[in-house]
Amino acid sequence: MLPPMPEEVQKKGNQMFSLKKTVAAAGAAVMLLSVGACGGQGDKNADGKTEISFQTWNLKNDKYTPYFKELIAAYEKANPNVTIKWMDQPSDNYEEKLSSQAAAKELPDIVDAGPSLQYGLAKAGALMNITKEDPGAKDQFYPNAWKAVTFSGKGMQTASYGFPWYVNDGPNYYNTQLMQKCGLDPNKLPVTWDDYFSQAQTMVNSGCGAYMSTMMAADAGDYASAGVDFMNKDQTEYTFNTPKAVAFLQKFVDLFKAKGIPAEALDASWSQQGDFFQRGSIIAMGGSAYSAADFKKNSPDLYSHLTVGPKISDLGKSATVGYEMLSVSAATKHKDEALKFVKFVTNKKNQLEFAKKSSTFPSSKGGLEDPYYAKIDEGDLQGKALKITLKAVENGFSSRPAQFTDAAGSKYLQQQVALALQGKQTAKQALDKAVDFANGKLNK
Amino acid sequence: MSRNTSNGSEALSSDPAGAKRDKPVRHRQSVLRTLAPYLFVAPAFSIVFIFVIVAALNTFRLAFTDSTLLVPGKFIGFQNFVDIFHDEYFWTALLNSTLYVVCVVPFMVILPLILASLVRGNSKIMGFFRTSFYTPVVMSAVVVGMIWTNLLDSKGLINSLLEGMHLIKQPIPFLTDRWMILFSAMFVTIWLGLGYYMVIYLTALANIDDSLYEAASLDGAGPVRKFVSITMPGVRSTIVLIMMLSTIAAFRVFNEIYVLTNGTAGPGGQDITMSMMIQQEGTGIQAHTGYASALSLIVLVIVGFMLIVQQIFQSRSEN
Repeated sequence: MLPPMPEEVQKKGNQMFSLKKTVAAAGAAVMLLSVGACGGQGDKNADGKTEISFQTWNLKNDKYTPYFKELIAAYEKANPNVTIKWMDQPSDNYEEKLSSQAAAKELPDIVDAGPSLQYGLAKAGALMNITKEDPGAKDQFYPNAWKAVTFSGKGMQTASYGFPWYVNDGPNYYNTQLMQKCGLDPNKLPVTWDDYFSQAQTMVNSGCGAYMSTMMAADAGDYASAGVDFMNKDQTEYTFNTPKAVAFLQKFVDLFKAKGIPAEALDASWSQQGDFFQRGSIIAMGGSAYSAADFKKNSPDLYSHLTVGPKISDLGKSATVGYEMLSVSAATKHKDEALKFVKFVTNKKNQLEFAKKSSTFPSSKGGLEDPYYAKIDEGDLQGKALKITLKAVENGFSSRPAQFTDAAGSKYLQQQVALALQGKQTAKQALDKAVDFANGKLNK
Repeated sequence: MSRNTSNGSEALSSDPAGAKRDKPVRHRQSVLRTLAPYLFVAPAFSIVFIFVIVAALNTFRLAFTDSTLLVPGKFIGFQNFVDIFHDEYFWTALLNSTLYVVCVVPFMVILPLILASLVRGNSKIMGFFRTSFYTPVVMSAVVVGMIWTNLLDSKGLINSLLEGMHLIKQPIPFLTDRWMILFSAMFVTIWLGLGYYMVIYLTALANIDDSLYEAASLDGAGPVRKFVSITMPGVRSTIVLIMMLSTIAAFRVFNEIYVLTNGTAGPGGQDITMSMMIQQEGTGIQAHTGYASALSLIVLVIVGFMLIVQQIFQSRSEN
């Protein structure tokens, strides 16, 4: 048992208690204020200006930062009552970052992402319906680009949920030295899938010990480029288990058995494909126009033996065009200002400037007719790659439906194809299971 | 208790008016004394309450809904559990996680004990060995992943060495075959855990009286006999503890498989484990938080069941 406290001590204690109270109250106030500072994205800042938060990913670096600084400065000069808060996130775990922002209702006013990530946000009602809010926006872009940002699905209105931004595709890169070693002619690059499998067979027969590539019909683009309808026309059902699709997958199964595809490809990531190509294990690799510069810098020996060709397709055009998009948060407090800034970033002039810097292409109408693209110098690998990609972007399309996300079928297809290649199930079983799974997700 | 305190204080006071004034003060003091232990516990309890109890209750609630990360969802009864039992990947994950427990736990219990017996003592060389064995424990999962993928890759150090020595013609598919991936991951788990459990055993070994070993030596017992008859009974309670800890850790294995397969769970997802399945279902923009929560509940029940079975065997063997 404790002895009672003397009155003096008690008084002192009371004084201390009030002091503690004051300190605690001040601390609480500071905490609350800092919490307030964390939130309130898009609120007015200290100058009384409207602040718009603009989030990109993997673009804050020596190459692109000057472009964005100039872009933002030009906009703020023309709109003195608005400030743009540019945030850039690392590419690793960007999906997790976006999902935590959306779950906490702290999505920035403007968000940069590809259609498959944006689809998840749109389906949850986190993105602004652009078709409804800005019906005229459609006319600013190429039809294929607008189609790529138009989403449909159960429980959501068919509409555009963002603005198309830069567009990309790319050529296939070939190791000519390895081709010669494997009995292939570097001047006769494969164009159709028949060419591809024929050359792969020649390579296998040569016993050169190399692999053709890590491609294995695990992506929507592979099937679409072989003339398979990936979905029905009204996008209510997946249809990539037709006899044509099964026969296409069977060719990869046979090539895998013949050791024309590395076992690592069964769960290979993009970086592994690059590693395989750089160490001379595979003949061909898909890439972007800007990959040429990376090869020149990182693998100068390999660079001297490289050539480029179009992506393999039976359609005479690319089915793997990729569109980046900028969307506006449905919860933005400054709808008009956010829309105005997005339209500024995605207008023809600004898209062109960014595309030239990044070896990508603009989605705004008229952008591809710019004299810059007519004057591409095909004297070096990068020029050749850029020219092939330009053609792909002009004529090609995106075959991967936005709703075919990793969680909603893409990953499952990859897994089922891997099991078929290993002989643990037939090609038909793999595709039937993948279609059933994806359709199940589509109807949820 | 507070009344006794008050009465005792009144008896000492010579001024009844003063005693009357002191009454509220003393009452406040006695209330404070009663509350003191709770106030000390309060900060820790608040953290546990918010981040463990509330989170666990929320997981329990979510398990019966069709919630996704961004959409709250509605109550669907046991539908998530029905779907899980019809999910082919659940059975694969359950098999892999159970195999992990069966294969890894015995090694985790025995090997660190042998290691601890070998490296006990105060000499510098033993200190060096202890530090060496403990080093993997402080490595990050990323570093561990890089080391082992470089070693086990088809063109990695191990395959290159074996091919160079003409011991194999084709690379061993450490990272491309379902079972080889699983066993490689188990090996990494054991490699990582040895040092950690060794330290726990070292503490337990320090409590065994050296005179027992001296007496055994006089009786002519060899090292094996001493280990079986003195060391093992001496650290019996630690063995039980490590068995429980390593069972829980093995069933919830995640990092090793994740880093060895780049997060893909191997070709065809055949190396998926329960924790990987929870991660795959419960993260991302379209995360199925309801489904992932139901999976978490199943893991909780299975781990709880395993621990109860261990306890039953333990108490039976003690009896």
